[in-house]
Amino acid sequence: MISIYLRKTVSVTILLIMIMQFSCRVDHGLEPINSKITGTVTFHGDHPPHTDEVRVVVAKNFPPKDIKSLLFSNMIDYKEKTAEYEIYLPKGTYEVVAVLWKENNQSWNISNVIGVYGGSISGDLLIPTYRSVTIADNNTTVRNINIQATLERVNRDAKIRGKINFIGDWPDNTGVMAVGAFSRIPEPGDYMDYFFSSIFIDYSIPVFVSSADYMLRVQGQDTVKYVAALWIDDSFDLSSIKDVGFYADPQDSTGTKPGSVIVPAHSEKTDIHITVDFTRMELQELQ
Amino acid sequence: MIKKISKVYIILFFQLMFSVHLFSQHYGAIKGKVVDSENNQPVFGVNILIKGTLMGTSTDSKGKFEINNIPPGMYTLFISHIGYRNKTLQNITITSGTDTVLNVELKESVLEMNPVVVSATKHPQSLHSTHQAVEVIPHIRIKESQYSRLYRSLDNVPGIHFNEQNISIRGSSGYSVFNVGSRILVMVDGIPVNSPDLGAINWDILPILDIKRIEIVKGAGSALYGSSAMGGVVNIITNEPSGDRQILVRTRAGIYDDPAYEEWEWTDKVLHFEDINASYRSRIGPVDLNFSFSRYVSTGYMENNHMDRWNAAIRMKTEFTNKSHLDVYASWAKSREGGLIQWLNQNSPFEVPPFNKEDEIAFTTVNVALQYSWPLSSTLGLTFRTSFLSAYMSNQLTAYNPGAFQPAYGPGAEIQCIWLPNNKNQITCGTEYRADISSTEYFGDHKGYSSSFYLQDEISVFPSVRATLGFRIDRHVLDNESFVSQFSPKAGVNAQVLSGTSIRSTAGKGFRAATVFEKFVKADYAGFNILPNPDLKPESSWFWDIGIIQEFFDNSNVQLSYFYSEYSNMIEPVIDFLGTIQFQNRLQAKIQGIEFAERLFLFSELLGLESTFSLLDPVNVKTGETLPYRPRFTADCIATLRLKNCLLQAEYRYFSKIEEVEINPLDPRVPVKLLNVRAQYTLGKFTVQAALTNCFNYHFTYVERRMAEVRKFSLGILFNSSE
Repeated sequence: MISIYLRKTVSVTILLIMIMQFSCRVDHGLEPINSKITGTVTFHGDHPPHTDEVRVVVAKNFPPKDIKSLLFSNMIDYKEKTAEYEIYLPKGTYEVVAVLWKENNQSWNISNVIGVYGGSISGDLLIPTYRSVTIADNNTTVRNINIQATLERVNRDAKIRGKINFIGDWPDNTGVMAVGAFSRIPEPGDYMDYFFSSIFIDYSIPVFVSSADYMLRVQGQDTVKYVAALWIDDSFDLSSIKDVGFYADPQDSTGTKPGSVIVPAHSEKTDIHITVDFTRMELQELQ
Repeated sequence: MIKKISKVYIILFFQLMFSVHLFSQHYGAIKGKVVDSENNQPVFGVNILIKGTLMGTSTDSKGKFEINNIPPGMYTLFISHIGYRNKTLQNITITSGTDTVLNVELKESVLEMNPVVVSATKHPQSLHSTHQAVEVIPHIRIKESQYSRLYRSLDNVPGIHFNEQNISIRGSSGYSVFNVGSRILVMVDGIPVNSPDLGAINWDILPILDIKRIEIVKGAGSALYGSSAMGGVVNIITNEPSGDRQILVRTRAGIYDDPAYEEWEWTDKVLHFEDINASYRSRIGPVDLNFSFSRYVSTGYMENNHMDRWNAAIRMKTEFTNKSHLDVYASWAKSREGGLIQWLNQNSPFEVPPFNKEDEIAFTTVNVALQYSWPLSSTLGLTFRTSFLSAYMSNQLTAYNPGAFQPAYGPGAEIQCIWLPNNKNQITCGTEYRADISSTEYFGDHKGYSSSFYLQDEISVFPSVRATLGFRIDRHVLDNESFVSQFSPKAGVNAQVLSGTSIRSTAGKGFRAATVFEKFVKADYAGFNILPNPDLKPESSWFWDIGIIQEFFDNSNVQLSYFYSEYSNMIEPVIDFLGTIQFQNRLQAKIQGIEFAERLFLFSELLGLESTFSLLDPVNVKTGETLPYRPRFTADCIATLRLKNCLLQAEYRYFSKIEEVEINPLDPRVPVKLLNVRAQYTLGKFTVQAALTNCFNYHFTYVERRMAEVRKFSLGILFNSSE
């Protein structure tokens, strides 16, 4: 009787070992990704004291649909002048590789891009060019994706404050209301131009309210040529951005001329109010 | 409305109290002995219940039992014991002034297919007679599965899925950090133990050897258990203390294998884990007690994944001359573990970023509960429960705001009454009070209170058909300001249509009040900013299910269930397009599915073939998208070969690929395929156990950027003084 049990036990054990051996060669689930991009980020300027972290981000398309469609590197050391980075990515073409700065206790904000691969910087400005990166079958490690990054861009030592008044009914398909400060007047409807001409955009203005206070951090002494309220639909697609109101020049009685603002360093300018009149916009304009 | 209902129940309560005079009749008694059918040896600790009454007892060390003060009449006895097949003795006649003597033989059985459960209705009943879907994990399954952590033992129940330690029953939950806002109420011996501030579950709250069985009620249980039972209930039943001295010791050690790919190897050290569990059961004077202790230490299978855990628990029980008994349970759990948030990158998935290498989280949980059960008569019983839960969490996570969650306290009390006014109705009612007191730097000081009343009537419509109707009213107050009233009804039916066939169906409402954490947390997590939302409303659900159990052969069965749930105002962490996270009442969802289970035991239980399959359709009503972190298909197959002293078991588990996740949707994901094999050999009082878990060394993630456990091997030895 014991020998029968022993035979059964041994047979089952051998069978299990065979299954394991066989399986070990077949499927281990997730696999290493051997394709990656590497490079160096060169920082210009000093990091602001309220810096939380800095990462390199990669977007398949630009503008990205939302923060979730970005691929992040690990944190890079922004306290040194240069930092090496690498990001493992599946093969393919990536439209933008950028350096993104994050403020303490604030969300990621693509307005805090401080450098773009293929672009260059001029003081605190990003020059609006960028280059895509392709990881091909025959080139799985793409090296020298080097990026110049300006911490000056986020060294915002002055503030603009104001109120946005909303008139009329909000469009049902409202997703995001934002307010931005720009170094020049961007081309309407062109998100790329909004992006590259922006000093800072705050995307967290409450929606479906009658008014909202806002605060924008800007660089002191620089001229803010345009302060505008921006609308994005509920697909949260940044390319749906619309310019729905702006700070008007107080000297212009018609209210059609944008006003510019210069704020001394370490101070703030208040009463930069904006009116958004939904009744004067065709619904189609916002779709 | 609530005041009126309250008045009615106060009157009802006093009526019940005065109905004690029913005792003053002439009585009979049942006496006897229970023995093992094979060797004729007495069986100790056998439960004997008189059906249709609240009377019962258990056998002493000589297998003897005695139930006195039984009103004359015809009765049915239900006899059950772990390791034996249940037995029902019908037409037992009790006459005034005489003793009815019974000698009962019980047949050994490893797994009872129709065990006694208490969680569906708050009183003992057989599994196949419940109106709601209930699963039972018996002690032997926990022992044989050889897991060191409790939640692993629940993973193969049909309809249950774990994302790391986040439990989801029938798709009720996705994933939330620290298991916050669980939609599953976890209880120890009927006392809730979800943490007061986070609503989270600490699965390591008690030593694993302490567990007698785990009962899982699937579908909303709010009509009996209130908030948090929206998706279901897990009731951990601990071992009852007994007069016979027993010492149980289990110790085990194991090693983790290297990852399957050389490029993923990250250390030359041998990664290992060890645990020791011990329990002592005895009687001191009039008090039966059970003391247990455990320690678990692990290096972890990846960087900063270490764990050091201590557990201790004591349960004491004493019976008074009026047959009432007092049951006290206290447990303490303390753990310190690496606070892994996410991997370094997909080519170094077992390493963490340099700045997370020192992150740690520590938990301390204390749970004290006291129950006093008082059978006022054969048809009326009262139970008083009071409890105190303290949950403390501290973390030193650099990615999280470093600091400590101060202890959150959750004192509670409950009075429960069971009344059998006639042979057709069984009424269960009660009132419960619970407080949630918390204070942390993350969300400030808050005090919440909840009070409730529940009523349930089980009606024998026909001899083989039993209907259940019930409701519960809950009132929640937070910071003396906001209050929420919830009415949670349910209706169910169970029909024993043919011999061995049981059909059941339930419909009901569930709800969960937002936790203090979900309303008030303000923190920075892994680069994402979490904002408070004090306006959060309770989430609620309606559910309906139908199921059939068919017994066949000697001790086998098949089960098939269909369920449908609609969730409203689901509280979910919503990540906006900038990455800001806020808990919001944003989601409306419909979840339906099918569960199938077969348990086949052949050749006198020599061979066991068990398999479970679940199909789930969890849909966001607004977008039509699949809800995140919920696999659509899960399967689990276990083959067990039980020889005389030897057990061999192989388990294969499969989850389909999770379609939607919250944070890193572009990361690659794979379905889960796990093969676990186990063996054990018993020689006298000693059992040697060995297990190889994740034989394929299959790599996958439950949650983005956190690799699941690699292949591991463990070897252990179990000593049982009473074997």
